[in-house]
Amino acid sequence: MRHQLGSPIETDQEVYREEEETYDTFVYHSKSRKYLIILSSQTISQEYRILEADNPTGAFEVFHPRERGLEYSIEHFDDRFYIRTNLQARNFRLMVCPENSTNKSFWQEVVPHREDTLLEDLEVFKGFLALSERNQGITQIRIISFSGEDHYISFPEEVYMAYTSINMEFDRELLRLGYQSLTTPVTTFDYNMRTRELTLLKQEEVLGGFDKANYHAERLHAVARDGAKIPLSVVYRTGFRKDGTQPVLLYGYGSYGFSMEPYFSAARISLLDRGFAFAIAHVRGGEDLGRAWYEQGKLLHKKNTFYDFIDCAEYLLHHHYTSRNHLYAMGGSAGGLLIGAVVNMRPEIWKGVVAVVPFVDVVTTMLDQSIPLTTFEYDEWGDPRSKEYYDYMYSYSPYDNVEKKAYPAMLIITGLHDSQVQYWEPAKWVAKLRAYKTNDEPLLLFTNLDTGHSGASGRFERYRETALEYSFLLDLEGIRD
Amino acid sequence: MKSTPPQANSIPHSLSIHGETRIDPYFWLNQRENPAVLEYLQEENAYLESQLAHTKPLQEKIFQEITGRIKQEDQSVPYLENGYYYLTRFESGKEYPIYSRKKGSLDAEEEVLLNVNELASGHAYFSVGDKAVSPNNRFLAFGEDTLSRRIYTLRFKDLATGEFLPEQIPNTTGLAAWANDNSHVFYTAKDPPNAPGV
Repeated sequence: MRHQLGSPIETDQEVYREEEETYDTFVYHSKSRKYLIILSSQTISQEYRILEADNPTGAFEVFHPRERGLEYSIEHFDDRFYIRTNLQARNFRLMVCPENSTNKSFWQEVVPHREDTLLEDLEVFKGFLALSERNQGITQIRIISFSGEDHYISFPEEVYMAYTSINMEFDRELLRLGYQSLTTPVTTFDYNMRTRELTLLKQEEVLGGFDKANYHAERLHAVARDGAKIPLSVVYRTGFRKDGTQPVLLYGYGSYGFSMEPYFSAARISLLDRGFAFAIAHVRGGEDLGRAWYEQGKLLHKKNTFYDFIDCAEYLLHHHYTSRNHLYAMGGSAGGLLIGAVVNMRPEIWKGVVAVVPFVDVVTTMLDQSIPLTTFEYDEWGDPRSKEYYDYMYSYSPYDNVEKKAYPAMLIITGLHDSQVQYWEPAKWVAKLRAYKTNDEPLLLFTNLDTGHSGASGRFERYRETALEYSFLLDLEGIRD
Repeated sequence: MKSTPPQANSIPHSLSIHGETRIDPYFWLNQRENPAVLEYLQEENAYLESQLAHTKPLQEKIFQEITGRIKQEDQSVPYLENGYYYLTRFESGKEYPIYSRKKGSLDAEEEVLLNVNELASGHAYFSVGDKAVSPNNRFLAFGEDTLSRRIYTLRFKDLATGEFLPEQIPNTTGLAAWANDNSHVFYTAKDPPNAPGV
């Protein structure tokens, strides 16, 4: 829609209408401010429309028409567009085209496809390209200068996350970037792309005596049942005994190709200091090891996500990081589906689980066309109006697979106004678990009657829920202080 | 204090497709407007309260611990855009950020774009979506969501006078883009409300 400041909104003009329900639409301007850009995006296809920002009443023109399975993103600079695309490149490659000839027949390769490295993002400067790449689950930032030099920024830790931050100006040698790890608080750097100097601008202060030296992070690899090597990122307080007596909280997500980052959490210290280790399972369904990692954990391969998580748990048990009486799991949203699935598949290995805004009523939701989520999601979960997908989904959907058996302790959290996962999914799940479960482990549902998918909005108040989750886990460990 | 768990009523509902029928006893819980639904959710909340009552001191201790690690007064590293340094800062004891900018230099006088603490006052939930400043640096467009449904009302502020403009555009994605004439603004309307992923 186009609005003119000062005129009634009833007179706003529609400039583009998305007719396909599975596409989301965004409008923004290019970093160069030369173009206004409309993005139509769906799980596996994108389409852009562009219009010169000096000519707002003109017509937007298609950059390259949508094709099922063709993903691309564009960055304007000078007289050209850079294109990050999966065109004949599963892990994406970088291409370029003249600004007035944008059809894919004009795209020329700049950085080729690599089998082991995912090209995730691009930042353009007057003299440099800054590429965000991911290799073996670890983010890397690569600088290519227009004079032909090419290098990676080196960071001191084995497991970390580094990402380009807000870079709004072209004419800069400094790249603003963010950095953190399981043991390093959020840090902001300027990186001089010419002299290769990294300048620390700020590291988040963690009050209350946090000392990085008291914590240890490591990267492990669990071998899944089909032979795939699943990375695990683990952090604990120095002195953690790997004799099976200390608790481990295993966290996972594994959908939409979202990669799980080894992020810093100041809240998490409350668990680590009370003897917990925290582990992230980089299961399939995320894009941690490239596009293939995602494709092996969606649609008719969705169960790999759940199997991987269980196999990561088995690895931690086998290597005495913990034992069944001290193993916990947590996940939210699609990660709540993961939790729901693994407690049905292997209820006996978990002492307790926390599922936040969990997507657990998969079959019914995916068949309910009145829910906004659904049509957007067919490419992720499949369409259960086809019997093959119905049968597969039905075989893992947590609500449909609750059985008369013993379940671990469970805390389930939802928000009444959640528009992504409706409150009734967890509510129905809890009601059915109450009727079916055969043991006396706690089963608790908290519905926040004021909030939606993201929980509380204030920077302090949001930690009421974290405190509830942690207290639930600590209480199961008999820790009261 | 409730010590026995609530049990939602079983009202069998048949769902049929592909010649198969699933009987869903709790399908009725999707009736948002049904008072029995809210009642059930409240019973579950009360049950949780009773079961975790003994952890209240621990919850409070952990809450204090976590929030005690956060710097009360904090400020982001400013970034440069179109002649201004933009920054986000928090004031002591306040839940929400203040978005501001400084012209030309970090030593310049601070100009507040939005004090979200003021905007959020009276709302149980408040979130600012995208913020977009016009090319001449005079007008701010921003989205606000007061229900956590990711549906934003687009609002405008004249940064020269500090006044919010009367026009408000409901049901948007909260993202806006200015044309170079500083007058036309492009945005995405939502109909029906749609949502990008879980």
